[in-house]
Amino acid sequence: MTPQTLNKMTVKALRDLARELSIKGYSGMRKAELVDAICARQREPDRDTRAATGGMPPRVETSAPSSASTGPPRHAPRLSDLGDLPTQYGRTCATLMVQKPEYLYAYWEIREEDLAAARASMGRVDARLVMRAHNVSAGVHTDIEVHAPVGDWFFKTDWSGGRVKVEIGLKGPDGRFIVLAVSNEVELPSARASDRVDPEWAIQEEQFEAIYALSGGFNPGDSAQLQRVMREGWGPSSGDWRR
Amino acid sequence: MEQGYFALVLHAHLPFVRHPEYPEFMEEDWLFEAIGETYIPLIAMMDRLVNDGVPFQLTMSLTPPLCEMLADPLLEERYDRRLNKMVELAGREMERTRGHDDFHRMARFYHERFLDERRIFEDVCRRNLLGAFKRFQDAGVLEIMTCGATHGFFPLMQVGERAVRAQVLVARDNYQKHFGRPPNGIWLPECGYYPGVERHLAEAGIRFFIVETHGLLHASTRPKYGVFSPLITLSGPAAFGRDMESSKQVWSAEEGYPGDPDYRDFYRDIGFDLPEDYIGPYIHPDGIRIHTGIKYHRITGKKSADKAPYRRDWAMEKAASHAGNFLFNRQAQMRHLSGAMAGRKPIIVAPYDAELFGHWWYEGPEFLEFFIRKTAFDQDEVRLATPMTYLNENPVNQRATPSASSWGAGGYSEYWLEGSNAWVYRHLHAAADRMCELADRFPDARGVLERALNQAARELLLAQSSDWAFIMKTGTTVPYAVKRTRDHIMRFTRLYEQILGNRIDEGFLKECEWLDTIFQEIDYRAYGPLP
Repeated sequence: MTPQTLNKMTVKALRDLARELSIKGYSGMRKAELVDAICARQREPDRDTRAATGGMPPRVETSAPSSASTGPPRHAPRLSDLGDLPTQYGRTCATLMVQKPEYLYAYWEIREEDLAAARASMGRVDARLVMRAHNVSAGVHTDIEVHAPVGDWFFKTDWSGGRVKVEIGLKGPDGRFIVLAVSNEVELPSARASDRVDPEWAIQEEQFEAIYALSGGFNPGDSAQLQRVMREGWGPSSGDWRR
Repeated sequence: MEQGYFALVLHAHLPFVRHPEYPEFMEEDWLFEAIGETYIPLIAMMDRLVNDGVPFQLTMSLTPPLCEMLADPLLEERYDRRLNKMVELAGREMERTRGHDDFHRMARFYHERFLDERRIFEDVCRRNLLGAFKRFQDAGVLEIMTCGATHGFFPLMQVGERAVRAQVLVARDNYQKHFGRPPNGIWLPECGYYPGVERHLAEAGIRFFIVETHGLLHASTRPKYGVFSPLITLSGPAAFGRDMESSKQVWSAEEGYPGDPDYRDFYRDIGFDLPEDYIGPYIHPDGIRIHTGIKYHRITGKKSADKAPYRRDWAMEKAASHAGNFLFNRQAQMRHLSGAMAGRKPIIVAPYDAELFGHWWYEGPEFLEFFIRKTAFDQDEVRLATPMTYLNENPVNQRATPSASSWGAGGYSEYWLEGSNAWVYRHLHAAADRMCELADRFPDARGVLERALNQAARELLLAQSSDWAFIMKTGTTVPYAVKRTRDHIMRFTRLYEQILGNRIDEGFLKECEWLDTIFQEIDYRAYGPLP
């Protein structure tokens, strides 16, 4: 969320958001401090659970290209001035994406009429909008309160693999859950070597450890090593080799 | 005795940046710098190697947007204009530096170099750089891979399988247009693999692709030979794995060769250093300082003022010695591996961004040439080969499914999916769904309707470039990336509404066609139902 959006929110709403974001000392903060703290937290790249930037893109200040360009365009750039992106597409839906092992990102859109209908059938004004993440393979789920009918969320699971989907739904205080949108299913990648061996390409444990190490993976039992290498990265996003 | 294969893979890519609506556009310089500092030096290198009868094989990916820009007359004209200015500036520099030996020598070097660049561009290639690459491919020394049509990041597109498939099919057709045959290999954009993408590759006739190290190491069954043999996916295409050791020697900011103090410094450029009344005509007309490509210092000292003058002779000596070191390490690695692999010949696959060589690491092309010549003549353990050569000589390989992976920091999708750029996917996915809806509703369009559908496909593809999310994350020129995403999505959205409403505004369509010219051959039916 941009500072402008945050500034329009009430102090109470900002405190709720700060609490969700685990910002320390939020209860004693004034509005401007809350906005700053939330913005700072949103910029942090690697939190376990974080509010995303919301569905809105950052606004571009003018219709002219940001990179300076000379003179008046020979061709009126009316194609560059088609307005802002839609905030929603008028369809109730949810989409789930994998960020990295254990980490997922979901975005959703619940049409007002669908939400209202669910509220009516629930018969409770205090029902909450919830994202329910299912590990389909393991048969377990976990609930995350999400508030916004058009929103998105990064979240961490403690699942090391399996097929996952999310449902956005209305949850009553009695635990009743009305599903509004069901996402696609994704496969959480495994961050370690498989235990399965193809008999045609059989390999002794010791030999595999040796070849794994030579491949740059080091010890197959300690995938943290490989991950450290990957985190540091020897590729285009590791240095400034590319703009 | 030959111990194994070494596949050097250079991934050449730039996003489609072409702005006919402005007389000059700063981001077009990305292409012009890469042509002068990387693509032409690589062409010149291969030309010398072929003329000298040096046996070698290289692999490059030339992405569809890059091919489309290299074949574009407007950009060729603008590149030529810039090149002429560079020749002129280097001439003035020879005057200005008179009496300062170190600088004067370099000014003359640049002058000759720009003249040579112009000779190769105008006289040797007749502005057709793709034709030069094609000749090397036809001669059997270069394997050109394709890429996703606009370098879209497949793992974050897979919720709409048809969008991924269209990226692959449009790329194949574009490759056919430029190189006169279908591609054997594809560079998955950002090395981004997800299990299942191979079925679209197989449909397009692709034989091989490359995954990041853990893509093979964490495959569905244990890879017997680690990353040193490909895995054959269940759909048929072979997945080769990136070798970390050889990557690190070149890529690593601390340990890698490009950071050597004898090499030319990238940042210190006369475009920033000289007073405006002198350099004005050679920087941006609005006075914005830019890289001219004339740089006199080497990588010394943290602060600009401490940097020592560049010595070309020292840099060349260092490039030769680094090439010798790189080869020595590959020989040692190869000997070690063939022992560990019980006689099966390993293949070491070393992919790099092509623009690293020349643009970022100025001496990179000379390093490559030294390395290739040494490999050809100084030893017989390491053989330069392409993945296709490997597959032809080693047709039997283990079958398994690689793990989801990419070559971005972290190894998965987090570089392209995080706080700064996650907002794009809601729009990209909605547009992709809409494009499929259009393809389903109008399977046999003709005339204006067909043009509008094709243009909608172009706009969607341009919005999908992973470069925009990448730039948002890196934090430089972010507004341009945001604007490109927004512009293409909005153009797409208008076309979608007009097509569905049966009220196509031909003037609007013409403007879109005039601006976003990529893929003249496109067929929107690539978004049709999956086979």
